[in-house]
Amino acid sequence: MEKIKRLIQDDKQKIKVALTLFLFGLVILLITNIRGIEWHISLELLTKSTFLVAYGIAGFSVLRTAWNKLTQKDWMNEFFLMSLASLGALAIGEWPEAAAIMIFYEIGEYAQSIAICRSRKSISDLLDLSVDICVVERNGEHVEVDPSEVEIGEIILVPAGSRIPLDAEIIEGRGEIDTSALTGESLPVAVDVGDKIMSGSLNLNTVLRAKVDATVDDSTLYRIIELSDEASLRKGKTERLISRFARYYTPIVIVLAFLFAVLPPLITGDPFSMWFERTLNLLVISCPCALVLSVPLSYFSGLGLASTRGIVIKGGDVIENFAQVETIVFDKTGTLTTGKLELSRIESYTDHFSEDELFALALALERGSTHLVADSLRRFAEQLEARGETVATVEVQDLEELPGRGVRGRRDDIVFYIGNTRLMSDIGLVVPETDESLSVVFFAMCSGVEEKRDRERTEEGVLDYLTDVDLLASFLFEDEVREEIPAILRKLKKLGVKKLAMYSGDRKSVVKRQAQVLGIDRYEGELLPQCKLQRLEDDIAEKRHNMNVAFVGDGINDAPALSIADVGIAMGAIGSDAAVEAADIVLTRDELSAIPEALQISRKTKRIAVENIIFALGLKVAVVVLSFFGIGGMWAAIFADVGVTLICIANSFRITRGSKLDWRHAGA
Amino acid sequence: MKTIRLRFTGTACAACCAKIEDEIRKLNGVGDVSISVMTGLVKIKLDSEKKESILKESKAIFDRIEPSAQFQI
Repeated sequence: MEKIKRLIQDDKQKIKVALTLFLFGLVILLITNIRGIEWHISLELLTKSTFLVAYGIAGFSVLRTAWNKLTQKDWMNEFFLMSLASLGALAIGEWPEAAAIMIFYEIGEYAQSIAICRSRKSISDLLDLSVDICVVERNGEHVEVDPSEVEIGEIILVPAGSRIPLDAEIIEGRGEIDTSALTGESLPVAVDVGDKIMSGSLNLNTVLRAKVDATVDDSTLYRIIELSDEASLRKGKTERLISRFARYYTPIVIVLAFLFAVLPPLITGDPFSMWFERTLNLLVISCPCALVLSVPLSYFSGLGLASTRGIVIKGGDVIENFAQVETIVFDKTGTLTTGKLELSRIESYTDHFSEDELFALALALERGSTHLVADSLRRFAEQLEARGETVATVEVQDLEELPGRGVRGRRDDIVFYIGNTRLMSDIGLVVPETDESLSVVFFAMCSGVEEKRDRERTEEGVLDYLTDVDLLASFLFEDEVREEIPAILRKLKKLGVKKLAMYSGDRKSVVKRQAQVLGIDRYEGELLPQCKLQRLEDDIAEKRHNMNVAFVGDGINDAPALSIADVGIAMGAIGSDAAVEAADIVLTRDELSAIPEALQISRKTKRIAVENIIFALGLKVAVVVLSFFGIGGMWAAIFADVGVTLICIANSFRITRGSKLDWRHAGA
Repeated sequence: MKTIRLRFTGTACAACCAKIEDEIRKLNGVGDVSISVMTGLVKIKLDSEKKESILKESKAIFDRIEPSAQFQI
């Protein structure tokens, strides 16, 4: 008794035993048919009891659940309907069919749970990347602790060949790491002092000493896992539609079955028994499970595939929206261009300062700024020092950042300005022509401001206040487009993205030249941050019905744009809370090629989900129609029920299969 | 309003999850709810004062619609 009980509870075992019995029964039936052996009473008993036992083993839990629900006055569920269908089949002497209904129902259920486990594999694979023990330096000793006990700022040691436990910055060691599990990048990545390493990557060949950047809960690995989990809860239109439909599906089938059983015999005078069988067919297809599962299964497979390619998509709704993208707007810096300005040369217009002095002053003025210009000047200074040249340190006061314009600072009683054309025109300077192809910032000074300020307010007005302004120099920078970008953008066009746009705060001439190199349709330069947002809003207002606008940024200062776009894509920004919060797609690798990939994955996922719906529904409708004309019978119904489940599941897995080659080759 | 997350195991029935979602949504004090059959996650936005009763009722809904699922509070 114990054994039977266990058998019934173990799905796989249950299906195996019931299926074996069922096939055994079928073989006996077949042999007696072919050989024309006379149907002996003992043989009949043997086959019937074989089918009955198979039925009992496979169907016990369904029957019990149906009964339990019935006692709670709930009969509009698939358990009750499957029980009714199979008991009906028994009643009209169709023993093999009755057993088949239950066995194949269980096979369908089992296949569904296997499918769910399989599609969760991409996430459980990520969990396997987490590390239980990490070596941390404390009081000059190396201690092994759980990564969750390590605090930000502590120093960890990552031995060669082990997983990196926490996000950190290398302070000693140079080597290669394998980030493939997180970013899909198959080649090892070279890392050196100062580089950030992501938790979950594999340290390949040397010991790395690194300073911890984030606790376990904030680490890249956990963020990706958490985002993937959370993504399953954000449902797209299709999924919501199908679950809503599922609510009506079962009642509709019941009503149809009732009509089948009663109306035709009353009208045509056919015997009730003939229509009773057709009614049973309908009950067999009463479970909407395959239909309802196929959509989230497809989407989750798509999300999983994307996450193994370094693309974290925040939900099924995002897949649907991105599949319908019509316009992609790029934030130029850091996405299309290298994001690093290289100081090309300084054009001096003054005799008061040498070029070295101008550079030293500029460096001091940009000290507090995080702008690219400041980065570039600092890098240039480091290069000079590395060559053994000295850069003078200059003291400046009252540093002030002027957003969208530049910086201002004071040295003694002279005020210095560094910034773009707009800033220069604000202080009343007309700037000279400079090399069209380079980005430029101007350097100006204004002497004697203090004593003029009072006069300015009283009588002489602004212009007089600005009369002592001199343009000192212009700093010319190269801002190169990333080599691989034009091919990626062409690919996006080929995928049917109608419009590519780029809005920038940089000089018009530079933006124009870059747009032409990149093949971007719509561009505008010299825009203030709020104007960039305005242009994005215009694009959203212009889009066609059902189509969407995506915005691609580096996630640093563009949270508003990321959130107003239909699909916000943050590049290489998994570590930034604001970016992860605002974006819909977060790329763990800093590569634009992930965008056409994400588009292909979204499209394919959506297409397969729709295929599944059409196929599942179509086949079920076909069974209803065929049953009406008395064609196909019970076996067709059983196929329509379980076959559909299996085919839909197999189809969903097409998303993750055979798709690996597509973009590797198509990328560039 | 506060958001809580729960987990469940033991069911692959997507239609049941959709049904459970509908019923939890109708409970008094529930702002929104989303259930994923794929990850076994339940996310409920609820009135924090009614948390205990909502959890109890949610568990009852799970037990009624999908008895094979183990709902973890």
